[in-house]
Amino acid sequence: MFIDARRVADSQVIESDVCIVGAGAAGISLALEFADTATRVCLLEAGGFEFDEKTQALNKGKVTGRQYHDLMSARLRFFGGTTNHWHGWCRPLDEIDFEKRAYIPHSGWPITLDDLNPYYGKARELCELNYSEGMGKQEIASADLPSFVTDRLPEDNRATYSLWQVSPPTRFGPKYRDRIEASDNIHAYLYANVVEIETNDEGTRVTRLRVATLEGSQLWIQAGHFVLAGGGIEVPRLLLASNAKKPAGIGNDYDQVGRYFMLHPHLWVGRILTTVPVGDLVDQRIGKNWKQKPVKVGISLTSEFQHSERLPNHVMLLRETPEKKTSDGLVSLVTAMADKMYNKLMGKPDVHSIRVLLWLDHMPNPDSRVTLGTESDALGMPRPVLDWRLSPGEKQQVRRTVESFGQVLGALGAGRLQLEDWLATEDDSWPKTIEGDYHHMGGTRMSDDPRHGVVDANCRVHDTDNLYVASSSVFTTAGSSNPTLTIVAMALRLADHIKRAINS
Amino acid sequence: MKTTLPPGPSRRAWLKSVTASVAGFFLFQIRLPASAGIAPGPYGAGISQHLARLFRNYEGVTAVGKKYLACIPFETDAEKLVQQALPGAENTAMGAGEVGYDQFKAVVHSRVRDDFRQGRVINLDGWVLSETEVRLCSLLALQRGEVTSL
Repeated sequence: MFIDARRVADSQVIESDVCIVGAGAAGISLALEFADTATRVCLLEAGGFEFDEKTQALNKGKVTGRQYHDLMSARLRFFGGTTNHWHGWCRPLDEIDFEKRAYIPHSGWPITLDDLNPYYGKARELCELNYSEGMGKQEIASADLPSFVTDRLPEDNRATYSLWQVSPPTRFGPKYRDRIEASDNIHAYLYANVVEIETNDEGTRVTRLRVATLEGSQLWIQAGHFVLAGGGIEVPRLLLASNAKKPAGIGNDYDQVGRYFMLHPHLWVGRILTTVPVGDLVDQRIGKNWKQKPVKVGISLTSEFQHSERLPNHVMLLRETPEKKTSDGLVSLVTAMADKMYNKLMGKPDVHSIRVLLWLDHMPNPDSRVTLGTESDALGMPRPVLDWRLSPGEKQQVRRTVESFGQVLGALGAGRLQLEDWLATEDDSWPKTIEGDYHHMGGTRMSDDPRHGVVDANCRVHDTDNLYVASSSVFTTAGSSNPTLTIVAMALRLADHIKRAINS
Repeated sequence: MKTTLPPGPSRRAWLKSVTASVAGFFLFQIRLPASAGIAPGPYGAGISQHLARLFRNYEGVTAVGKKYLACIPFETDAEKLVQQALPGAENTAMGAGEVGYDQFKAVVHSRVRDDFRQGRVINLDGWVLSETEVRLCSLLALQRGEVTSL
């Protein structure tokens, strides 16, 4: 059932077994796992069913590092959370994303892909993807996809392709509202902003949450288990601001909260001159898979090649672009060296110009972080400050990645690649503006060692008994997949863990 | 129809006869336009003519070659360029201009692709190019007199 927190008597104490803070993809998925059970669930949502400016303004913050979107617009604060403006691209993380790689400092999750695989199937259902258990790449792919990418490219064992399934997209709020409403044991409070986590004197156990409304009332939530299911900025913000017992905040004995903040930088890295027909190469449309569900395709270098050449994980997307003035020599060279499959023997050869967009799994960097600013919001919470950073040496890894892709194209007789000007230089400079996305990751990263992370392998905050995080903020590395599907899978895994804890 | 080559010495003899006839055919068929201004290279007309046919836009390609030689001036030497682009060519039918265009092109393609597989690439104005193809462009530039040998 839904309850408007503004109508609840001031200072009321609400008791539950599990309290979930945030009703986005993670919070709703987790709550639904307890639907119609004996477990009393309290689901707290900062907004209502629709966007409202006053609530959204609580997200306002400052950006001091690399240029990034206004934090006001990066997350949505109403029922369904950021799925309310989600594009719906879904792809599980790759196996390599979980591995500790010597050439990627601070990489290595305490779990593997095998730990998440049992949950991806159900996560796909929640995201309304067409999927059957055991379905492989070939089944997901379709004849509609660009044939050069899916058939020819993998002939060079350095390259492969990646597939996204595309959700309708599922707006978790409207989609699952009725199920939440119908569940007697789930009490969802709207307009309920958590402003403080209270703990025992030792700071080892959460005792209750203080919830405030913009109308000035407050209430308290007591529960056996608490789950922070906000975004990658809001979760660290709340932990840092809850400093009554521990001055550095909760889970922050080793100054880890807020660090290793990551995004997926979208980088225009190069341009291809090619004789391959555009339709065989570029995914400008969304293909359909076996049941007419949308699928998209990207290009990457294989995990084996990444290991051998010490390259970061990534995906490249090819986009047709208006012809930039190109030297006739390069056109002639490309034509002369083209594979016979892709060269007309008679007449003027067709040479196309394609731009390459790279999604980077950028290096976790402890100096890339969320901190608290000096300004406060309307509820007295310190506003967040985001200092997002890339790492020294990272650009050279990107450059070698793109050069390697150029080599694959050359080896297949498919064209030649030119690095973008900013990437062709040897220095550490990046383009002034990088197209970022809304994928906030890190900030409460997962690690077995509290000196290097905030939550353990079960997403429990290290120094507390009963506080968990269900958010992309636990990602140890970003990977190159859109995070929502993994957020949902991890929330389902956490639900299983909490159920076991309750039963034991 | 698929053609299978006999093994051993007879295979070589067969290849030689075929390449000679193919080369003869192309030498007869293909004439360089006077405007191309390509002088015979140090290894006979074969390579020069084949290069001219391979790269249809001489001006453009020689610009690539000139750029390379400006960066690596010590390679401004036709003999060196051929030795590095097509090692051993001087002692073969290719160097003597007795190899047909198709075989020449196949050898070049194979070598260029091998460059890309083995990472023998150079970065020229951001372009990721095979060492072989760039040296062939440079050879063309030298033979057209666009660059003076050291």
